[in-house]
Amino acid sequence: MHSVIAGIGHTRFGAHPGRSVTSLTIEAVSAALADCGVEKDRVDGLFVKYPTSAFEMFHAAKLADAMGLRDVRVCGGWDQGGAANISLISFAAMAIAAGQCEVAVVCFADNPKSGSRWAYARARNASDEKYGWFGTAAHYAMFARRHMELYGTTFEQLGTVAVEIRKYGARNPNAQLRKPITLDDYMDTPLIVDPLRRDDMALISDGGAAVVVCSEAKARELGVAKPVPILGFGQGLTLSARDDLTTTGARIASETAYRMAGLGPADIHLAQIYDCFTPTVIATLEDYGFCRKGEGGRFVEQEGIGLDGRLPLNTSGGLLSETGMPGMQLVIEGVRQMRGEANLQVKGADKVIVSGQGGAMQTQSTLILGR
Amino acid sequence: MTDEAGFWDRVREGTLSFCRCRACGHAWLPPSPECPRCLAADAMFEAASGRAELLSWVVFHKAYQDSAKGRVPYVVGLVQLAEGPRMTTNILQDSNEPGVGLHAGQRLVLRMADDGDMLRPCFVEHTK
Repeated sequence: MHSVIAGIGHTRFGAHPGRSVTSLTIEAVSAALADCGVEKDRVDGLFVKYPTSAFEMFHAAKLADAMGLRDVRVCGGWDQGGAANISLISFAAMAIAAGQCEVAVVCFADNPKSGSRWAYARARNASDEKYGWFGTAAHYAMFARRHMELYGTTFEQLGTVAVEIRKYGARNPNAQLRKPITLDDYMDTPLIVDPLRRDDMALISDGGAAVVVCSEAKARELGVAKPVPILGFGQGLTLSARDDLTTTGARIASETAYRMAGLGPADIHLAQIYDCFTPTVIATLEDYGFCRKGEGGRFVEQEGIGLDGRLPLNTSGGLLSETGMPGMQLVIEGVRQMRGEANLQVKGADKVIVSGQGGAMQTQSTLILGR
Repeated sequence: MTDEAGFWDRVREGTLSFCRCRACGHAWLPPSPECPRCLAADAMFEAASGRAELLSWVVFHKAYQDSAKGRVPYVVGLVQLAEGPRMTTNILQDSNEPGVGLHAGQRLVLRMADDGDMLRPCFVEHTK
């Protein structure tokens, strides 16, 4: 029996000065419970992604305290960066299938926009400091250059990812950044960490998001109006020093998810791809089997990722435009699409593949939802 | 010990080193006491030949930390030493346009940059 995503919730996207991670989390969880009409006291599983900008020991247990969750049987936090939310949803589904809990909340929040951004600009060790090897963006820039050198991926192809995703964001009234750009605009902006520009990079955002997971039977029992079945999931890790730098754990993660769902890329016509940086989208499309390795740039240009393209993706604006929060917004948009209540509904799409990744492409997660 | 401190001690003496496992022969960077292939804690430093291949590179136009102010634009490259280990390092060029003329697979050679208070193992294009 499938687990389902029963409820979804999130805070407003953008800046929340003065709001704590706990406060933002509670707002998102309340919204997710209200969305599916499930009482808080039904929650017996709490799965929490750690915030990136400030580590807190026993974060999940403290959240359970703050929410007065008395009867939690499974509770903990998980450290996998932008891959964590999807992995936690899969852990919740597995815990439910194993009888460990019945109604799970998966949630997270962070406040790097009004709080600390150190995590995005830091050197990772003393040697990196000496070379000036700073910041999250540079890791993706290094990845992008290798892809460009090996396969002829172009600035224009990276830019096409940004242009198309910004179009979706511009039409989303809840998006943090609602300003569309043209490819000329993109090419005219300066390089920050060559080969990447500002428009290749995720927003920095405060916010929280949550989903409620339970079994199909439990959803019926609780009277959940629009449960969305979880068809497949998977994870994949590579060494950061991959032999082939451009092939990531997304290949393994998606193979596992496809096998579980009994599906392949040809069955899927809608995606929500972790777009912390534009090259990630190109590489993930390859590793998910939508095109061959090296052809991701041509795929976004020629096959298309807009509403009328082969594979509409990030239909609410993704990390580049809706909110920079690490990944749950993609799951939530996938759920809205499967419910048929998305802002930009993709007609006929009855399955959606969602990706998460962290650690500069090292760790990956994949989720497939259906109708 | 084959750790970061030991690595930089040897740099101070003018030598770029990598870790070599006495148990299985594996060579690696960044430096660590345990072999990532066989997990033996029986490693030594070995001097690198100084020959390397460029895998990828980026050009920083923004100073993400105060220590990088006055340096931009500068090139950080991912290189593979002839002996196998990979390292993130600086690519030094005579050009006024950092990054121009580089390509994946390019042959590089070690050059110790002298920063006054320390040496820094960098690479330049191998021209011969």
